[in-house]
Amino acid sequence: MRFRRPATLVAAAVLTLTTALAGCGSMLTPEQRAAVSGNGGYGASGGNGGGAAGPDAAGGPGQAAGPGAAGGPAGAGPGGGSAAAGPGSPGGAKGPGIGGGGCKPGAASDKGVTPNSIAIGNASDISGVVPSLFQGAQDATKAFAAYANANGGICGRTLDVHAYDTGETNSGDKAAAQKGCGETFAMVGSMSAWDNGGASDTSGCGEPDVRGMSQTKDRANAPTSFGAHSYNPGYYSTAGADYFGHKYPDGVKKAALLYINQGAVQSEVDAETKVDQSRGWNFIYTQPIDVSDVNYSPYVLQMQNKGVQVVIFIGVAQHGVRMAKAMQQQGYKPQAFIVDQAIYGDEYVSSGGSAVDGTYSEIQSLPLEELNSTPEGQLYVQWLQRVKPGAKPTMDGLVAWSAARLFATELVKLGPNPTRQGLLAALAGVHDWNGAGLTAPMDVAGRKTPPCSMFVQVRGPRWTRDGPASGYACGSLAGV
Amino acid sequence: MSSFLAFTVIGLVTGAGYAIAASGLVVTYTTSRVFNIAHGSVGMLMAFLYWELNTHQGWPVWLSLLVVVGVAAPLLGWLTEKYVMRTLVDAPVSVSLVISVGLLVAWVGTAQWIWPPKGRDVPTFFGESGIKVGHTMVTGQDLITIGVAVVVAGALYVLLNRTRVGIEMRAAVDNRTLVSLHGGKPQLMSSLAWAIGSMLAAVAGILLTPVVQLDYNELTLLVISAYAAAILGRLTSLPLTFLGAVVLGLLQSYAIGYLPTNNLLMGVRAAIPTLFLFAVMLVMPEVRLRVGQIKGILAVPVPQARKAGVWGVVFVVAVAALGLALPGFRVPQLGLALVYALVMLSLVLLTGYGGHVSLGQFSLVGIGAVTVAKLGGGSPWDILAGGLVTAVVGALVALPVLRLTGLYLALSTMAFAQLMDKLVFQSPYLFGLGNTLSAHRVFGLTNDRAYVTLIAVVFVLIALALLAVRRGRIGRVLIAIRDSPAAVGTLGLNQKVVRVAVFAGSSFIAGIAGGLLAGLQGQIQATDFELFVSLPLLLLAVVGGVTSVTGAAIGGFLLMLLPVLTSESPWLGGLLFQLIGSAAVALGRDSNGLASKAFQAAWWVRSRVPSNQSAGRKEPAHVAA
Repeated sequence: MRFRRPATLVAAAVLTLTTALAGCGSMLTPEQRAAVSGNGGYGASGGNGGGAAGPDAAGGPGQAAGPGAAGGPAGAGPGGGSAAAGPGSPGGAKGPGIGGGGCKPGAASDKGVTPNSIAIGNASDISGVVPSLFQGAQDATKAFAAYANANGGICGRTLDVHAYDTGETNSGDKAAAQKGCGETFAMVGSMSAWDNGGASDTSGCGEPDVRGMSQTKDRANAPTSFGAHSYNPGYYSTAGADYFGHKYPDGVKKAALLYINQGAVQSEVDAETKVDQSRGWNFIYTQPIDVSDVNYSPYVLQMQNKGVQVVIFIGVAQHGVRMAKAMQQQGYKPQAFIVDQAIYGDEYVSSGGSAVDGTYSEIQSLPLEELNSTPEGQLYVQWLQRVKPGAKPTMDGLVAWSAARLFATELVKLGPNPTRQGLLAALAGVHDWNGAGLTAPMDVAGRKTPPCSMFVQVRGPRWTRDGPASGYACGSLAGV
Repeated sequence: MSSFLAFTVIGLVTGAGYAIAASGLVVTYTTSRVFNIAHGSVGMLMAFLYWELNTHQGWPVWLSLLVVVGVAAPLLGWLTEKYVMRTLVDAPVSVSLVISVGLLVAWVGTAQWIWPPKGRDVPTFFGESGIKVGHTMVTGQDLITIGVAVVVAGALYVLLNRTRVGIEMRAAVDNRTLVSLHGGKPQLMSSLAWAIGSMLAAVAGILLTPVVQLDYNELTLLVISAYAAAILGRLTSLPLTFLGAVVLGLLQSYAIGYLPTNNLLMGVRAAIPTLFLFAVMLVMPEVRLRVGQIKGILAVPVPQARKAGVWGVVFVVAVAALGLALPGFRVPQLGLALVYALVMLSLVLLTGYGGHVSLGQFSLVGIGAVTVAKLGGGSPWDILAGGLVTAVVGALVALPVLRLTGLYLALSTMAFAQLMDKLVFQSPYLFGLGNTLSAHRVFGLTNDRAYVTLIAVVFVLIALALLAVRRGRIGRVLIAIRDSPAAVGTLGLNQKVVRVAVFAGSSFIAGIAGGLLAGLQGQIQATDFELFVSLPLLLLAVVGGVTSVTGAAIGGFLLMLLPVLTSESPWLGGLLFQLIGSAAVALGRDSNGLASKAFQAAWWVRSRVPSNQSAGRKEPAHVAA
């Protein structure tokens, strides 16, 4: 249910003049920042992603202590040395290592590959209407590269990150894709609100694109693009509908769906309604809200009048806060207030105060609050601090790190002379990636939205896991 | 019945918010004749400052209010009037609008620079306490909003109509010299008015923040909805402004309560302020022509046909060469600059020659783009059809507002753009559920360099046609109408036909640009044509020079460069907005813009190069047009 929709991001920010300024054409939707929240993680099943074959596959001393222990990318073997032993791992940033042990650097086997380095690109939204929308994705990619390089690189080659700013525009994404084609071996960890802009360019030049998460259908289905979070607007999971259906069996018979009407959200709303209804939900109030609307009290009044018991809200954090405050102001307390995964994050909690307490959301990755519970999460946090002291982990960063790990894992398998074609072929076989324990199981090659989710709730000043007690709750996928 | 009462109460609260926001607009307009688009951004800036002092620094409410509303806001208003607005009293609408848009951008950039984006909780006044009216809870915050609106209305009415200071303020607008002769201090009065306007913006920002949240954009743009209310009072009548605000608030509340919920009607609901604005404008009395006043604009020289042709060929060759020299990923950016330049050519006709300001030009670009995308885009006839369809729409837009001039005409174009946003571009019937339309390139030109050269050719052809128009009888008529409608009217010329023709011609060019844009990008989205994309367009058109083809080209490249610069140098961020805003404020008074400076520089250089032909020439950088 809800929340897979990066496309919705587009919303509010568009309003800005700033946007207009930022690039006339730079119209984007703020939500994207949050949109990312859906990441994958891996489920209780503990499977691990493509990691199955992990870096170790190429041999090497593998590192025993990887997230593998938790079902993570196990086997990550070190080629260039384990994280613990790596030159850049002071402070004990332990993790799965990079892999490729025993593998010696080869020749300049393809674009961006030299005997000493591999150029990778990251095209993310940095400037634009919503400043630093996906800054976290770029930072995480740099962090992973630093981690890899500190551990001997990949087959002895260092990762050289070319950072591109897509500027929250279609044309920005296109320009970045074209640059990447000419300068880098592969794009890694990219996150761009209008990522359809360069989809055909990337696939046209045959460049592997291991993204954090695709935002549009065009990108999700592009032949050379693979999302570490395999969200695809064409597929929806029943996990959320089932979870809340069991929790509030009566409430879901009197449900409301309110959404900020911007971008491609309408198609998502239609799909979600269809999927939820198929699981016994009954929507007695469906309400699109214009992005420029600032007073939500009349909508709250309508829900009160109609006796709505469960409320689903799709928008970005500022809209969610506005709705929560309007409900609080009117003394309206439904059984459940469930917000889009795009709303999940610090901003909602810090700007919502007591009004947002009790809010639910559905995510497909480890909550940021639990990052330190896994070795891979610790690695992400520690290396992020090294490349950007003071930066906070973000959901886009989390999936970008997962993407970088996926890239490294598959690249190691290719040996000393990697080629784009070889990497694409390897990625085409990844159907169960979990980001070394960071995300739910993702069918990367199948390009299908993950069927498993975790449910979190605001309790006090933070998001807290509500269920399941461990791992993820899985549903079935419905294609729409 | 109880529901009706509840929706009424909510509508009144909303209306009170609009009223406070609109009142500041009225005060500044009444006393300076400047429609201050930046009004909302001042409120936004002050709301952030209030949050900083009260919530972040922990100052008590009363002290924070005193510092923000009593000191910072009036100081900002005073400085703005003294250093920016004072000279705009008699300036053309295009100039004052551009400068206030520049200020808006500068304030947004400032706020982003000082307070980077992050979640900020803004507590309501009196927390959750309130009183129950029927089924609805009226909180302390709501009561304060209504109370402040009433107090502001009463105080302003008394100030402007019953006090010497207020009367002096209004008199200063009509004739500053006369006020001075009567012992008044017109400059002080203007400063005072702007200080009050700024204080009201601060009050509105602080009161609305708990509802709207601390958001740079929404607080800034709230005034856009509020101006519909102010128009009812023709931006001068406070009672009518407040009436308009209340009616708007009620209409929006009832619409949520009683209109069926579907997408089409959702669009109607969102467009209520705009529909309200149109309705008010339709019943407005015709504006009387200015008599005894000629406001000529010194324009850059218009080149002769042969010279223009030669430069056109040079331009195309230069673009082709540049395309070959640039790396592949830069070529589409070059194309984008040319498309923007083409859109700015449409403003040269409309604003530069015709004297009409359009705040919604990108909506017209969108119509052209959508038409071409729907037709496929592979044939030049598709592009032509895009231009023609847009021309028809442009003429239709001009028809209902034929009686309006200046500011009202500009606002009507903004209203048109809003209607396009809310009712047309948002419609799934137009862009589909995926919100994207694909388009092919004309002649199947998949090569970026070839396509960009084609755009350059189109730009040159349209520019040559435009210059031919300017040199001919129609051009002289346009300039005459722009400078003195009364004189032209006295000569018996039908200005309405000319105006419709200018709108249609300008729209045709914008439509062609839209068609070429669709082909360049390969796909278009509704958000490509949002209302607010049009504002920087106007801003940079004036900075480049809205009276010349060269200015259009400069403006197009500047507009393209904006996102490129912020993208390649993210640290520029808000600073860049500040610079752009400041540049617009500095250059906005001369609609010949940078093009004029370039011509002057070229002439200066030529005059210092000894040659038989240049000897003895006078500098012709500006000629009366």
